[in-house]
Amino acid sequence: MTRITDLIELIKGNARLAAIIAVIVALVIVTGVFYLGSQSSADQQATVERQLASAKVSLTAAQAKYDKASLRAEQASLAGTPTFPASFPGVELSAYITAGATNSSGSVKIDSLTPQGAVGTQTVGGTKYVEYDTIVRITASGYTAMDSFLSYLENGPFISLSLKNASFTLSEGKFTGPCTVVILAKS
Amino acid sequence: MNIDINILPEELRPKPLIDTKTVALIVVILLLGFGCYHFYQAKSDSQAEITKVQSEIKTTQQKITALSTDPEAVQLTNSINQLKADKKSYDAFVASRVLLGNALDGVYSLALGRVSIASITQSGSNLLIRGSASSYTDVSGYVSALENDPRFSVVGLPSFSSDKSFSATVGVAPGGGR
Repeated sequence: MTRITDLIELIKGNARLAAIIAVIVALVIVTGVFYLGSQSSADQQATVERQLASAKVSLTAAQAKYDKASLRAEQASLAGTPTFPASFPGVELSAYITAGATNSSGSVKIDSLTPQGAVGTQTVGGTKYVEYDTIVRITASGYTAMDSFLSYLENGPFISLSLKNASFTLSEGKFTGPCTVVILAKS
Repeated sequence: MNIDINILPEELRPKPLIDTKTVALIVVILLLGFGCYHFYQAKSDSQAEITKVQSEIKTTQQKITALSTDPEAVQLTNSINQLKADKKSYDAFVASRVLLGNALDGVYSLALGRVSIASITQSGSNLLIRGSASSYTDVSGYVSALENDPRFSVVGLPSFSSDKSFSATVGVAPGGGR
């Protein structure tokens, strides 16, 4: 306490010393303010530099992703991909089924052909498609003719065609029965 | 031992131009001044760098936006995504579908000389085969032949009745074979 009192007395008696101390105190405050400001700026700079690095990575990824030459090449490589029909090819399917019977030289006869329209949807490979059913009732002269006819349907131009609910009975040497032709279309 | 031989009174003696304490304080002031300048300069440099980097970020983001909204690139990307989805669907469809014509060909051709088939009923990927056979041995021989064919897998045991009729259920491997 005595030392502080002595110091105060010393300062009171020495204006120059008081001025110097005042300057020092002011400089200490200003230096502190500038130090804090520089630290804040350094932190902010580090943050924006990280943002820039991230943006550059995104840019590189975008350049690779949207490279038109690569995209054109990829599109060309997928050009031959089989595509399910956009809509139900009813007329073409009926014509194709009856042509199969006609070309069998009488060994397969179509007793009836009944389009059922859209009966629901099926999800294939993560995409939903509309299912169109057509019930075909046939009479075949033998199992070979029947199998050939069914394979003709399955291996035809309709890539989304499948057969279900087939039920064939042998009667008087002939196979007869219904079979449902299913076509999946996009709409 | 130092002896002060100056006979002048203290207040009349010449005083040094500047004393040591003052010099020390001036040095402190100078150091603080330098510190001020240094930190100010550091902050100023950082701010300039921040402005520059922010400008670079903005330019980079504009480039990314330009790339991702390029009409041709968007059209190509959409087309590729559609084709990929189509391919995925087609592959899944082919892998899962039952080739009935091929399957019935196997069912009938393997029956020749063993059993006589009266009817075949499809239920999902299974075929219920009904017919007649002269003995259970013929039925089991037929079923074994089906089991050994990569297109089929036998579901359950075949049945055989005293009236010589039999029934057997086989699963058809999707995609044309297992």
